[in-house]
Amino acid sequence: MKRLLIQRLVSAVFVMLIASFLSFSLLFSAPGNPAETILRQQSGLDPTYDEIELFMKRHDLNRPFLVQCLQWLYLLTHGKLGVSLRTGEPVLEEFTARFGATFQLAVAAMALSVIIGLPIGVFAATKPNSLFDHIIRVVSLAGVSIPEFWLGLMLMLCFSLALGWLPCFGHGTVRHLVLPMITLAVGITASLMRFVRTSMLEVLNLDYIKTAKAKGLREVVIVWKHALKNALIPVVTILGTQLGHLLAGAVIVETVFSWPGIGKFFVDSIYARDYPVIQGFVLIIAAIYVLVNLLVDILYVYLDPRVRYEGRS
Amino acid sequence: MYILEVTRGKKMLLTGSILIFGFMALAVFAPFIAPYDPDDVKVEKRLLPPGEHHLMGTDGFGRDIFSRVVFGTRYSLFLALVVVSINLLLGLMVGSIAGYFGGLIDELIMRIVDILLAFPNIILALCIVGVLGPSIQNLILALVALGWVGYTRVSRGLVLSIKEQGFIGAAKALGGSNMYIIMRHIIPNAFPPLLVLATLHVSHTILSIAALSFLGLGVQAPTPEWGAMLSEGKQFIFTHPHVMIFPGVAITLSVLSFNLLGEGLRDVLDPRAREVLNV
Repeated sequence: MKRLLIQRLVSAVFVMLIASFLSFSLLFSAPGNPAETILRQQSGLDPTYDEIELFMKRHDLNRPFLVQCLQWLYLLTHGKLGVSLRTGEPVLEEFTARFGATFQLAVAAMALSVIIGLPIGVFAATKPNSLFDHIIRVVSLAGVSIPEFWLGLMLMLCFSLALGWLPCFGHGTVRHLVLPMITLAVGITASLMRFVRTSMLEVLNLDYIKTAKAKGLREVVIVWKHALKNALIPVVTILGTQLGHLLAGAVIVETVFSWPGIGKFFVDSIYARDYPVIQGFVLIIAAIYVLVNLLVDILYVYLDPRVRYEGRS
Repeated sequence: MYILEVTRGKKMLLTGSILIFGFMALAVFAPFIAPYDPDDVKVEKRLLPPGEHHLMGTDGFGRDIFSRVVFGTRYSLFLALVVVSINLLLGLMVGSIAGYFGGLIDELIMRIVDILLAFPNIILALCIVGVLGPSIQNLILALVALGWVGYTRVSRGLVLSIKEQGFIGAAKALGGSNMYIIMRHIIPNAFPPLLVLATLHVSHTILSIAALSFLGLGVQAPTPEWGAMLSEGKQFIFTHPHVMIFPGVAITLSVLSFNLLGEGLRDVLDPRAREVLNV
């Protein structure tokens, strides 16, 4: 347990180091001189040679790549991620100001998926190869096949334009949340459903379930109490990996619905080539991702004492 | 029960194959199937609803949407297949080396893979395309940058189980070199289960390409690619929704067909390989 924790922590630190290196080199992989690009961004005019020289000197851009990289790391350890070229605000503040909206959307979508996906998955597992099971399998395949951005637009068309039930843009009330939440939840629900079904089927074949049946326990109790407890353990890990889905989905769904979260700001920054924001956001998102995966790993060991961690098998 | 399982798999396999075959035919015979030139701008015919002359209507530039959807299969299928093939070959090669040799090489490769697997890939793809500029080459690069690691992990697992089998020992005893054994014995045996993974991956890739193009960061606008068509048609969604409906249906159907094929293949695959794939 301790060894696992240390191993995971070390690899998390490594991931972050590599992530910061990658996000730093992004600026250098862009075509053209970054100083020139940034200056053109700021003024909208082609900068003169002197202006470029001055800018490079002021921002230490003419130092060797590795020195700059270390400098960037040093600033990172002090929580300095630079300043947005568009808004002039620190990147970290831009992030925290928008994180709430994304978090709200993500949690709502995740909750909806669990509420719908979990019972359906369990039910499908109790009646494998029934008509219901087949329908669910096809429906979930369709669910993961629909592009999120298109689904969002179609929902808008249906519920905002045709029926007039819900607003299509904006943020604030619960009514604004409904469409983006559903859009984001469809893909997650579909994969959760299938995962719960597989996991549940495995558990239902175990000996202790047979014992419970032999004891004469009611089916409902066996499935929903005894089996579900164990079947849920691997589901926890899936929720961790779904976070990646959620972040990626949020980028697209937020753009479609003009939801003022980190995803929309990120895409807008990419359009504007706002390099400090792109660099900083990648890094913060990677950090969140790594952290959640670490937590899931720890939770997994805690939940399932059978898990033996001896490296990869 | 087992019989049922197999027939169900085959039903999905069959539906998926027929659909994919249909899309392939559309792509190959696009010039014969499409009634109009997909790039033919006719301002006087803009935004016509679906009807007799234009099966799916026309878009904001008066181009025939049906013809554009038909030609769009070329871009989506071709790009997705290219991306997946590169990922598959790269992953298979690296994974075979890691699994076959073991030891320090294995440790090193798998550490890198573990680290890369921890990255949210769409975010990185967005960054790469965003910084390098949107073009088809950069789109492929962005989707390959992290795409190969999944295959590496799975092929390593497969190779580990293959190399313990008798015929590998026999090949070694006969004096086969490492390279020969990897190329002639390991890779052919690891390939079928990887093909399942690749099929499912094609559907992911079609979705990613469409999403990036929709955001304006993939295939660019005048090209009849489905995501780019949706990006162009976005402004007409409330006035002329037909512009938005058909390209989206095309994406969903093509993704679904590869998902059906992949699922079907997974069902008929032998259980040992299935276990490796589920990891």
